[in-house]
Amino acid sequence: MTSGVRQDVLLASSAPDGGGAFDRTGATSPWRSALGTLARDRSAMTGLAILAALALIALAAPYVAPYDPRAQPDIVALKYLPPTLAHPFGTDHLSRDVLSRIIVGSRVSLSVAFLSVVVAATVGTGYGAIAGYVGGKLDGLMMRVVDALLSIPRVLLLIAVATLWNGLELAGLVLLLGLTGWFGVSRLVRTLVLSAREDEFVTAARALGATHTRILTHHILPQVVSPVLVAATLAIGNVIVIEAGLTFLGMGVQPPNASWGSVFYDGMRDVGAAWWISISAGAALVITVLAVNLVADGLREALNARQLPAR
Amino acid sequence: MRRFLARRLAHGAAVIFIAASLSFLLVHLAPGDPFSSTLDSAAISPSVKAAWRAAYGLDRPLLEQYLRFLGQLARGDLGPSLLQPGPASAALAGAVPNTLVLMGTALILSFVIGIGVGSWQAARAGSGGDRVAGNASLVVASLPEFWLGAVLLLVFALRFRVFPAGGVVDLVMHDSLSPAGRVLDRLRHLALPSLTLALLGSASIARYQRAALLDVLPQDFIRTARAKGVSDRLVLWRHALRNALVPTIVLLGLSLPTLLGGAVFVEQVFSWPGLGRLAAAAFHARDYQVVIGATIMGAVLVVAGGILADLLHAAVDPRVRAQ
Amino acid sequence: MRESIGPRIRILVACALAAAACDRGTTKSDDASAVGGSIIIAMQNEPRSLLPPLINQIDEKVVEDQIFEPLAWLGDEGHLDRDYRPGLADSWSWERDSTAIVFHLNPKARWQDGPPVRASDVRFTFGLYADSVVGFKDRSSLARIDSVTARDSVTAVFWFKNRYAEQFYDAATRLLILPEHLLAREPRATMLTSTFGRQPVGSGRFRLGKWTPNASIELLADTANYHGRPNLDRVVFAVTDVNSLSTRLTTGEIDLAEVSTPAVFRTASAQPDLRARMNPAYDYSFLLFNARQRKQRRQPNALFADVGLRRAISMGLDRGKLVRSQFDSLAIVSTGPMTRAQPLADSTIRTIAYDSAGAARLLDSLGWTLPAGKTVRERRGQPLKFSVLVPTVSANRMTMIVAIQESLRKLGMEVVVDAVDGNTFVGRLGARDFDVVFDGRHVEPSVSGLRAFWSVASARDANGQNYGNYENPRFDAHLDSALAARDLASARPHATQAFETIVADVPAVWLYETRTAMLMHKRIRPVHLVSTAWWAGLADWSIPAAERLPRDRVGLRVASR
Repeated sequence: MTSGVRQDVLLASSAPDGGGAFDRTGATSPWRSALGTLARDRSAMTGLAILAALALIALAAPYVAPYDPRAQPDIVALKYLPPTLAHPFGTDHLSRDVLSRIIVGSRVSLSVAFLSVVVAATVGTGYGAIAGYVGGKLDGLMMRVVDALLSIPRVLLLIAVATLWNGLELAGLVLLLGLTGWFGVSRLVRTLVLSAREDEFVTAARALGATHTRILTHHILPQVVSPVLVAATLAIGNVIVIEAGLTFLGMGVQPPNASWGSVFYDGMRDVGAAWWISISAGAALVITVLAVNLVADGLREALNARQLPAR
Repeated sequence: MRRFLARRLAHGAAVIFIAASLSFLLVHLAPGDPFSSTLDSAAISPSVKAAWRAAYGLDRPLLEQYLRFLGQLARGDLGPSLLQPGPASAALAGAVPNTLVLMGTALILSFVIGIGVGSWQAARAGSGGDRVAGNASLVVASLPEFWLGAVLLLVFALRFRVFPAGGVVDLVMHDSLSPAGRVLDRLRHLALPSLTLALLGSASIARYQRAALLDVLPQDFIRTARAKGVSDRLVLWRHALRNALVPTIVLLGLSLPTLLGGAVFVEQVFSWPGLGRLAAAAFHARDYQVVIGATIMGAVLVVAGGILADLLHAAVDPRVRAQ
Repeated sequence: MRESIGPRIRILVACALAAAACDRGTTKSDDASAVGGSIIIAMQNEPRSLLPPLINQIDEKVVEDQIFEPLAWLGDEGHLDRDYRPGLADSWSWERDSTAIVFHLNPKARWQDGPPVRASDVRFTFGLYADSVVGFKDRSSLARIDSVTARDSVTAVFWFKNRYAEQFYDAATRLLILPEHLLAREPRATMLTSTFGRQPVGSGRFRLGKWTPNASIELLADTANYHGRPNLDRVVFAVTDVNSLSTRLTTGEIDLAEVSTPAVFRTASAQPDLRARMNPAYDYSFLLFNARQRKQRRQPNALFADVGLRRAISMGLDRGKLVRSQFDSLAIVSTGPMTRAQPLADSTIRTIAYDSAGAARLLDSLGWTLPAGKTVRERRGQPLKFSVLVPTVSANRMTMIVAIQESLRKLGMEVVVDAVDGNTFVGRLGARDFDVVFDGRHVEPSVSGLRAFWSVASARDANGQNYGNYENPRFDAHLDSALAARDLASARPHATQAFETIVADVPAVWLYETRTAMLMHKRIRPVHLVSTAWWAGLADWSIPAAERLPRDRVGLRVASR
């Protein structure tokens, strides 16, 4: 996916050699100063505001939606109504209110994206931390596996699984997106852990006889948190688009569940008759992804001690 | 240099071997097989299907099938395609060139556009033009490729009929055209799908190039160049651009898997008979050999792209060459 | 009944109009002005193989019917008991007791690679189709043919086990005759991957030109054909998915397509260059109830053994509206396990009318009442909730089930959509592991297929296709009488009784018959548009010289490859 390119690009733009350039002093620096930097970043705050609003709408969806998103008042006479005050985004092929479906669909789209990224970040951090901390032959083997997984285009892998196990439940979709999304994170974490292992604090702690668990949780993982957070935020935008793409190919969220992807797809079946359906869903999607990217951008700069010039 | 290349090649081979094994495992663990994939096939009795499975060796234990698969693979043979008569390698040989052409064109276009726009922005960083271009690239980079593809198709193929809506060549006319006409015919068909991919890719590259240039611009050697009286424009083009190109080329290797992923969607939208469409059809039909073959080809493309990027990197950056 | 008149009359008119052209088509056209032209036909699914016994979908049939020939073609009017035109056989005769048909092959007939077509090829072809390991889907339709013999090199005799109405149809049209000399040594169990399936050689008037996987199949005029060369130089089948069909039709990249989506139909039929023509329906879809418990044939289904509940569900669905909303004119409300295009179908049978209030009353009287404050009906504390098995591969069914779910929700029923992929669907159907399934069938003009799907024997056979366990011996008796009749007229009353019986039993809610529309560039002059197979006369289609496009003037280039 394109947003995948962007994800790599944004990560790489501060770390062309695969993540090593995330300055560790930046990661361990007080969060407060980072938040302060973030608060001064206008575009990041705009993105954050949009995301907060979307999250609120998603949480309160049943109360915010003007109609029951399932209701089909008249599937012949009231289908494909153009936008009016009563139906700002018109109605779909089953005379359902498109605005209500987009509002309720935001729940699926956002929660699938969020949960799958949590899965990806967790698995990726765990895997990368083990590889980086243990090192040696195990590290080599584990990273070869990640290289192999990364060399299969994710979309191809997703389509393979979604076709072979067609009709996935939502939980399955979350797992699928999560378990195909951790490869990059694990590589990033491994690089960070590898360099953190040589850190003076860690050497000191080891000399004082601290256990591996303690060293990992107290000294190494805190340095990993902020880069992973940036990567995860970017991945959310990526996953929203992927979910829509899979649904576009008929493999994502299955009806009667609504997601932005499925509303978009419903509209595409007759763009000539009702272009506004796909446009509305597409707009919701693009705005969200844009907001996510703005926030990720801001986060990266706030958490990164190395200042990019001229910003 | 030679040792570096040898190591990269060995590494790549290992990666491809793992990818092949993974895809083998994936298709064989999935429910169904090539003889259970269509709704219609319900009319064919289970005993006949069992006979077919036996004939193609699909009734053997998984480990045995895997070893046989490895044996075939070592000889460069994937086995017969069950989706279409003939070896799976023939199906791939038909599809891979189309995808390569699409990706190659898109890659070149996206770097030309991206580096151009990024440099233009860097030269006037902070200006209104920079901000507009920056926001535009952020929006473009947030678009799903099936959406952009569909819009370009509706506008340039359906509304204005400038370009054909799908396919690689004109199905009837192509073979009777002059050599120049054939090239033109191919370019016309290539225009929309490659532009879709290129636009999306160039947005990220532009952002990246701008940042990289601004990173380089204040550095000492540029100050030296300026002090020597070299004009601003020349400084940008000669020194800064050359230095900023290095990380951008690294990006080449990084962006290949995602470009290939994007090609899957674009091939669907524009009926482009490439690797993505072939793979999608093969997954659907449980055509094991083609699925595995397509995965291997995808991995080969990505690995080869990575090695190529490394070589380019070495060619551009003297420090890497020295290592 | 009313709905069925429209399309049928149109078909008849179309055939009558085409009839004038038919005569010109069958006479060998030396008329140079009629010869030439290239048409591009959309193909939704690329064939796996062009070996006719492995036929899996209609797209394959369209191509194979150009490369190969049956002994005779069904005529334009589509009457199964008469009305055939010569194919590979130029005449035929019945043995006196009607248990054998003698086909006299055209002595000039040759395979595209040179050798003459022999009666032994016909015998070989029957053996191949009838061999279970090859996997011909409709093999059961050949079950009453005992054997095929070659009386001499150009005379093939079909021997039947008994007399029945569709003997001639089965023998003459089901088999596309194959060259023994190219296929005899091919192992039968791996026919699917035989090279012949990718490089077919037949006796038809088109031969395979170039097959570009994932893109197109090009057929070229076989100029040496014994029937005379086809008018068209070239027919290209372009692999096109539904999403791009509308665009490629509008831009003229495709000349002809069979369209089943209302949106595509509406957009494309508005194009001045395209002509539309409705095809009759040969597919019907229905909600099938399982009369028995899931996977347990011994026990009656807790919900759907009750004909009252089945009837109430049927009454609660406004099928007219469901069909109009989703299909516009591309489907009609189904009346039973048949489509109106079948000669024996009877659409005057009384069906269950939409009556929402009546459905609610019926449910109340069955004990399914709506407790105060609840939205789902209950009987003795058990909610009226069930799942419907739907295959995700069917976009039509996936869409309509959402509307059905909502309709039944208003009646106080909770429907869970159990959407599964094609493999799982077929597996669960076969295991009868469902309460309700959204199923569909493709039918032939003949009604003989009913036996496999609705007979008592099929319900009791664990491998049978009577998935809903429908059992009514009276239905079987009527159907057997209809199938044993020697012609359509005497079969009709029995068929009607069979349909009345099954429709009254409500084993399913009969939802819709989908039909397709043909969109075709106006420069094309088609002939022999048989209702079951518009492509049957493709070799006689033509394009007037004055209306030709650049692609029509390319000519028959000599293969440079």
